[in-house]
Amino acid sequence: MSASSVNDLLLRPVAPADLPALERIAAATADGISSLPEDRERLRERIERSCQAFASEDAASGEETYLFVLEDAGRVIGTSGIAASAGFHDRFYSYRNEFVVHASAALGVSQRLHTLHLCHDLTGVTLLTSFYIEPAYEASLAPQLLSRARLLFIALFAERFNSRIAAEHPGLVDAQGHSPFWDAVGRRFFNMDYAQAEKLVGGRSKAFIADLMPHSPIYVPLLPEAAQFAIGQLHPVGELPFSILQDEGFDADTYIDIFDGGPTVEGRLELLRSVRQARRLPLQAGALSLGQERWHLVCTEQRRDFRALLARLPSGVQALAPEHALFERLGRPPGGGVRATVLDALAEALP
Amino acid sequence: MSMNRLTLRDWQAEDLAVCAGWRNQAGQAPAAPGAGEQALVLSDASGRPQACARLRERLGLDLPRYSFHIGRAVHAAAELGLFQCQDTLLLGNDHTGEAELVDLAHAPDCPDPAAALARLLAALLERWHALPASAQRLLVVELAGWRDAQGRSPVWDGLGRFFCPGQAEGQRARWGEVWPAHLAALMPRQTLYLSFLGEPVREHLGRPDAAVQAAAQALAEAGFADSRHVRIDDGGPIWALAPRQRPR
Repeated sequence: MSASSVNDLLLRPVAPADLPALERIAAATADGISSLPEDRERLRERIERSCQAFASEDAASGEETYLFVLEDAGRVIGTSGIAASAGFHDRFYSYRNEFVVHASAALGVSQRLHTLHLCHDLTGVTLLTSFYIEPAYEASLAPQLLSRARLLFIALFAERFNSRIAAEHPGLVDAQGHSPFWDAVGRRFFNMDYAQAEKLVGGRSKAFIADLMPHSPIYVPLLPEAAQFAIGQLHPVGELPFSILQDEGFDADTYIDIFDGGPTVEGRLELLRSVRQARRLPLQAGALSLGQERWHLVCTEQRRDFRALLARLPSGVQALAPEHALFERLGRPPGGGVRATVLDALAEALP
Repeated sequence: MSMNRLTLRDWQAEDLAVCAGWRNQAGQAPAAPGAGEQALVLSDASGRPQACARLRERLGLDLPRYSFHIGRAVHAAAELGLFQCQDTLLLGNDHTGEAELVDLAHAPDCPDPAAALARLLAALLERWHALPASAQRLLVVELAGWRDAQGRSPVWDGLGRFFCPGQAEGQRARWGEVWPAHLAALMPRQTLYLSFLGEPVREHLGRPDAAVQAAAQALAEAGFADSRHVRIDDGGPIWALAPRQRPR
């Protein structure tokens, strides 16, 4: 992707007309990888809920889910989402990695043991969801825009979200779709394979399944080696969104998914790099844009008409002139300013 | 040698030297009775012990006694048609305060160990049932857990060794009755699901070692039965005789 085509990228809230594009994306994602259901009616409901969340004037209840689409010259090439409150109306389960030390002074033995504790720690945190980018765009700047713009959105409307942000990532499965972690843990309680369990559960919350799981700690050394290895390991399709969030400063060592053992990252909003480095750029007649240009993620300050894009701006930019080209690309938003955050140095090397 | 020629008598201090090379139902050498304990000996015409047994009226009151309780947890969701019954292990001191039968053993050259142990056990249980405590307390007995031809315990290899590196063999002999209490400090305090343990553990948990078969047979015939508890190192069964139960 060239710099000129980066200018064609625009992130915006999903709209009803995006249903066919979402159906295409849901069909393209592997089982259990995307949170987009392969079901037209459920996708339609998902879009409706998102439209409502973006537009609602009511105080946030935590039930809101926001879905963004990324378009390239008007064609949808990716999605990303936010669930305002994980496990809303229910508990959100994870396994928490903990290390316990069992010691006997008499025997002269001290054993540090890796354990997994079923917990509700992440209940109520804001979840990043539904990340998907067309493979042709994976090596471009597009995924950066798709993933990080959500963080600026959350920071802009912080009263509607939790200050702790988390994201689940798919765990290891083999070519036949078998998850070693599921086979060693979940299967003992469900007596079925992972794909079957997912199908059985359908649209239910994971809490429903988790209630059937053991609530006492799992001692990792007692699990088969393949399952031990799978703890916190990523499915290859999760590497890209995972790396972006890791670069933001998310912690990947504490929580894992209770089904496939994939890493659930977690971080505090104000400490995330894009949020920390974000600043407001007011409109200012005659504002100069001088200095070495770097890639910036720029977004509007409106919830309903949120837009985000990538632009090359001087590193020390303080204000933008009203005639700056990016205002046109953002649809001339009202409010007299935009938010911008600089992408990291790696972005400069991307096509 | 006919059983009739054997004589029942109380334990004498000099019996210890004879019995020291024997193995009791728990796989250990018998010890001299402690304060307040009763011990009986079945001796031959020369007075040499052929079998012995000891009764301890209360256990675990000075040294905590640990065992795993084998329980059951049901994970069910009628809506999903799921019903999973799981066996569990929970570390505890469930038998604290109960009575205990210890050092049920016979001489290696005892011509009819089963008969000798049965006779000895009947006599000891008669004494036990004469005590008022027998109406309230269980009488428990620990048996050595199953071992393979090389003397390795599958239960230890599949569970204990993850928490206490090295071999359990010799630890009981080295530490005596305090060994399980030391080991318990290293073992999980929360419920363990048997399904997380390997098949060899599940298969051998609660199975007595072949070497203590004669004692196990005599105990079973006397009415001792599985108490859903096992030893925490080798998974040997802990059997119990219910209060007020009369010997058969």
